Amino acid sequence: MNEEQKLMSDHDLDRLLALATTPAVGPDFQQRMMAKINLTTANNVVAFPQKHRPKSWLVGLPLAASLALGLWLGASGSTINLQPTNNTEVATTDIGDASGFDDIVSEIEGVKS
Amino acid sequence: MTDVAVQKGETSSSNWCAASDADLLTAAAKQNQQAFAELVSRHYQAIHRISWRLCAGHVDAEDVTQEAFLRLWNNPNQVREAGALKGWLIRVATNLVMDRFRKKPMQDLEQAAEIADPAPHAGAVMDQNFIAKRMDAVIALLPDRQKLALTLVHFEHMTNIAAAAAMEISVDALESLLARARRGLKLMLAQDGQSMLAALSTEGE
Repeated sequence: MNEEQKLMSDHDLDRLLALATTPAVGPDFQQRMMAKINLTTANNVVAFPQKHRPKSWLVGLPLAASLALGLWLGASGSTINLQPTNNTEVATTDIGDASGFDDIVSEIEGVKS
Repeated sequence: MTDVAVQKGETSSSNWCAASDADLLTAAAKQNQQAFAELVSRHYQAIHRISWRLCAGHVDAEDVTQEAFLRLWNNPNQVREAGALKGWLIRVATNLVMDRFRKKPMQDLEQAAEIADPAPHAGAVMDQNFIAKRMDAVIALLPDRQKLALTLVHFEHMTNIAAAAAMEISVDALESLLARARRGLKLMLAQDGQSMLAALSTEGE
């Protein structure tokens, strides 16, 4: 008798397999599952700290103050020395074809001397 | 159920019972817990049975089942079509089992209350409970992929095509795994299989 003949038939194996345990899941599995889902969902929500937003009219206050200061300075004439015409001189010396800084310096020194 | 209703989340919990898996998946992707609860109720028993068989009856099977559904909740878009949902859950559960027992190989299995001694007991009373435990034990000794193939086809009554799709292998490969699993079982039962069958026949009479 060879080895194959000693083994049980497929039909017999199926009869034995039919007796294997059919596991049953716990009765409250679904409730526990959904509780876990709720927990996961709650953990996924990150609470950002509430940003303090200043009142909108407060933002305009420094701008209005800056405008008022500008108008007052302009009207009082105290910014006259800051204007471009008072801050520059018209060049009176012809410095020719200066090709660099040294040329300019020597031209000016030559004029002074 | 219309897509509009799903999008607006207007469906009440009782109406989800009639919804298709595709509608439930769409709603679950929008974090609708009622729709997801319905999906869980439809599939958790099968996923638990498969996990239990792969864990060889270990209590981790329930954790694995929960973890598989949690992954679905967190990444619903990984399942592209509803028809592939069960296969996706099976693959996730299988990978989770493999990962767990790769990390802590067999030591937990030995502590599991459900595991029976795989050795045949001479003179033991071969009632159905004994045979059930003996069958669980010999199935647990099969290689993982053979065990999964046998579980899907024999215990979950999936077709060869569906089981092969779930395992992401060809039908030929699945049939080969099944054949090797059955031969392995027959070899392991060569010593006491006939006496168990005889006990069954006696009980039948």
